[in-house]
Amino acid sequence: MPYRYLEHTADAGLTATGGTLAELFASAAEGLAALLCDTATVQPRESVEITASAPDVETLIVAWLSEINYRFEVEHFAFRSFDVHEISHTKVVATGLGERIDPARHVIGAQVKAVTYHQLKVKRTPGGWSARVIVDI
Amino acid sequence: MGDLPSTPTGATRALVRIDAQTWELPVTYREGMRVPGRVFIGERLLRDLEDDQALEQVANVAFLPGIVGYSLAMPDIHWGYGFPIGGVAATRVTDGVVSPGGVGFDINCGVRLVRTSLSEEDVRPRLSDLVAKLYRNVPSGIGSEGMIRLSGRDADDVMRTGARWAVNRGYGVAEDLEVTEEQGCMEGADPSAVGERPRKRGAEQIGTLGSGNHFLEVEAVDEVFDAAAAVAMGITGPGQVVVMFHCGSRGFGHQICEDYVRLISGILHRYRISLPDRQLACAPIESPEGRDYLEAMRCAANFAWANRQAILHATRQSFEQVFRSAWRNLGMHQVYDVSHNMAKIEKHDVDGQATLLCVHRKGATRAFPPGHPDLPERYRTIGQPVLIPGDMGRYSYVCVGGPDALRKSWGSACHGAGRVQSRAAAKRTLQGRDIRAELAERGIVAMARGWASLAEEATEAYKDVEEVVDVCVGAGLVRKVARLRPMGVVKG
Repeated sequence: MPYRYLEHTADAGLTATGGTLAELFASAAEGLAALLCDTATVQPRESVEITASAPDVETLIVAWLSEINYRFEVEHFAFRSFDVHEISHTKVVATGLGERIDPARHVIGAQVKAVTYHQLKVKRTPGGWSARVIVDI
Repeated sequence: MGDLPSTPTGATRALVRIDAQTWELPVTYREGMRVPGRVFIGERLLRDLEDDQALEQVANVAFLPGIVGYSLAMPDIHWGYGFPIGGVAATRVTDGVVSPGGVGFDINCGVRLVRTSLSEEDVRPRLSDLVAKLYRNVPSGIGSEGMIRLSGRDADDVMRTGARWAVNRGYGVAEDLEVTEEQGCMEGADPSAVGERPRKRGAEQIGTLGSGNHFLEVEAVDEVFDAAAAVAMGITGPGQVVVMFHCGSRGFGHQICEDYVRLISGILHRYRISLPDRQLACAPIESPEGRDYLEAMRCAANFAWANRQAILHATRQSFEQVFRSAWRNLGMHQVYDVSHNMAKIEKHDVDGQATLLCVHRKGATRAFPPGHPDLPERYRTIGQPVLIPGDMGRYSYVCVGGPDALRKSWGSACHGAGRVQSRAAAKRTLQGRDIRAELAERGIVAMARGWASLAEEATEAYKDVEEVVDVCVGAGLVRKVARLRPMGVVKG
């Protein structure tokens, strides 16, 4: 799995990896989406455009994940997967696939208050990229 | 990369014992600390801290410009983000900073307690029905909107007037406001400091509980420790049924914090502030950004009080439906409402001088002692009620502000039991167990969205709140009034 969850006493930590920065961002987003709603119950019926920008790659991943959480909470859109079209250290443009939340079919998980900067890391590895993010739930 | 650093940090070894409940983290522990750390804790509770980063976070908070006295932590301290949960820090208004992360995402998360004239015997036969009604009338949030949808005009009123907005709409009565911290409305809230996004996130969330550790419980008084204080609160004795709930400003407050952490972390250089953790981002209280944050934060505080007021209304309605009697006839008066995530401008004694401070309480309850001028008349002689939930399987406490709270902790005390297991660990520990059935065997009816919400919040995941409260009592921060035990539990 390109993402996994970490132990954090009060909240939830997420690490993600990817061969490229685009893959890293897609993996991290899938990790967050799976916290919000069981992705196995979500069908890829609709797509939404998601963009985020920030001063550097670490704040960018926070802005990106925050955007996904916002769309989930405000537009009630449950995500299944992500397709990152365009990425730099300061901007990401992507499509999220999924559908509107239907409480009868979807298993809603934790409500994420926010994505934090605490112990945030995005770095290059021999295999590509990895990231660590803590979310407040 | 991979795992978070979780080896003992050296901070527990660096602690110096001051007295039975007080440990100091010397100012020399890390270069850059402006004041020492002080943790109110017992020896056994201290061992739980060896594995995580909470004490490092106490050290980090000591870096904040303008911090006065100590970087403090209450005995329910655990690893948060930026500030430790259970952290208290006061900064001078004249040259200090305010840190949105020091308030947290759930601005004005707090606890409200309502008493009834019903006894456990009255409620027990209809408990399942009551819990089901409460579960339906107090929705958790996503996928189950609250009963109220805020339009633009209403939203501004909520931000400015807090619980009063809800009372004006018929969700409660004026006496509820008298027994709410700040009368349920903080002055100095300015909706123009709040962007579009918080408004959108909050639009459907008044009257909703949220998830995580938020809850609503029907409880029975288990034991009374201070009869005079209990009488002042309308707590009559063992077997009396009360309702306690815990929630905050929902997505509205979360988004305000997010927006301001992002804004302020981008301008730290402007004020030449350097910090060991990005999540501690802060701005001078007297700067435009600091002022804007405080104005927006107060809007979120007011949103939270409106939210808890709407939940009180839904609670009264649920009882009315089940017991077929008006809430007044059921004696459903509010005891108190306290906030435990907030930054407040308060006057405190610093080296003999009355000084204006910005007191950050991140998972810490205000706990003013008897005689404090900010207390409502009816609690002036007993001290401010301090509501301390435990976990859903054991008990919760009602206390009052203690004699040493102002001097030792800027009038603050613990806010709960504090987690001891991560959510993931709790789920692993409880794998295969029917938590709902186990609670039912002990006479506790629980309703939650799923097994995971119960597992993450199970007794096993928490410290024993009694140990935590005893430390606060020993340190003179609070006095015990009553212990409550759960009968019915609603989890988001």
